[in-house]
Amino acid sequence: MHQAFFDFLLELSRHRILWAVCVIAAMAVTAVVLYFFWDLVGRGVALARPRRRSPSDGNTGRRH
Amino acid sequence: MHFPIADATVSPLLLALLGMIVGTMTGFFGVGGGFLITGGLLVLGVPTIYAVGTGLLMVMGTAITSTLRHRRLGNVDIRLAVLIVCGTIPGVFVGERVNATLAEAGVAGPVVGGVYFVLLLSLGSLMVGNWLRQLRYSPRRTVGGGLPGWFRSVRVGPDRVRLPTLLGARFSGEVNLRPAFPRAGIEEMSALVPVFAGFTIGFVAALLGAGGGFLLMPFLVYGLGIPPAVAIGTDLFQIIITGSLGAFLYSLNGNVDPVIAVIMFASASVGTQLGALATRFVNASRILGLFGITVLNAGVAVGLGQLARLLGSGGLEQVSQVLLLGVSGAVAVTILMLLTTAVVTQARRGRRLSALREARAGRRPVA
Repeated sequence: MHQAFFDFLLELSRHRILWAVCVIAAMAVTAVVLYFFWDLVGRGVALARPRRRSPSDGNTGRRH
Repeated sequence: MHFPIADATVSPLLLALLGMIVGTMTGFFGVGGGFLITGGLLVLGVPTIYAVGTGLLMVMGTAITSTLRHRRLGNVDIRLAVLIVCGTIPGVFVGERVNATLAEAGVAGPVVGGVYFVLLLSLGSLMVGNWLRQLRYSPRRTVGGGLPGWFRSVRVGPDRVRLPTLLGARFSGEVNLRPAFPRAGIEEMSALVPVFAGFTIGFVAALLGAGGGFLLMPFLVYGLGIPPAVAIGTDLFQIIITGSLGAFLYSLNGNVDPVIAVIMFASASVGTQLGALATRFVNASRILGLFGITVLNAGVAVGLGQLARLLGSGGLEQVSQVLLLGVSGAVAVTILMLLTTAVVTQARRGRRLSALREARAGRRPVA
């Protein structure tokens, strides 16, 4: 299957401008997608953390 | 695995490992890591022109992700960055043309390798020397004197230029050629200094296939005396322009392998997150020496790789490969270990604190 993919890429690379635009666009999209993916993961971890911590920490907000 | 676009046979695992190492260093030290990517691809056996083009594409991706992360911090001096970019764009065009001419003459490999070797060795020595000096003496910033003082006071051409009144009185007036750069903490400096610096960095970056961060960062910090946080932000802004423009020019000539770039970038994104996380727990300035050692080592590995190609020695090429990936990998592992130690220590401290609180809460009713 990856042979067909490489053949397609080799065919596309013959059209210079289209190839350059596709290469730049592919990398830019990958960068943005990965940024949002890791941002979501980070938010998920940040949301999960206080719920796990608060009972064991005993940090209920009460002060004497 | 054979990559038909670059016509190179490289193990995807080695590519992913290189990406992971680069990502960890990028996230931790805040530089693009282009010197390591192109250097790494060279020692992995990717042809020089493809290593440079693919390196630029990868640098572009890393810079986009890092800038998106840094955008909320406001660590970019836009005026300084725009002036640098004004010099970078023509520099990239000249560098790409020079590289293409060298490739046509069949000497791109030795020339790029040689320049890489000298640059990485000098920069690595500068960084390690500076780090050792900081260890011996308390660090003091000499903003008023030394190199920053010279760059800030140097006068190139007139201080002000009067605009011709071509479009009526509304557009007439004077342009200050010695503006202030408030975020960078510079009261006034010739606008031509960042333009010239940008041109030089753009030229070298396009020639070597790096984003130029490893050159611009030391220039901004040691040359202009800018705070490291602002230097990183301004640097990243410039890297997006250099990387995308350079990658576009190399792609037009078909000298980029996007499959290699995407494999490396996917694994680098994991390393970037871990490296960035480590900066919350570890003071990066204390182990900048490690970064200097990595740069120094990359220079030696590239030099050995070039020598191996000249002599046709497979053994020497393997030594350079092991040296580059080994030492850089060791630095990346050190960063990850520092992160793990910090997380474990924090968790233990939290547990001890909660146990103490519980013990106190248990004693209170008795008392």
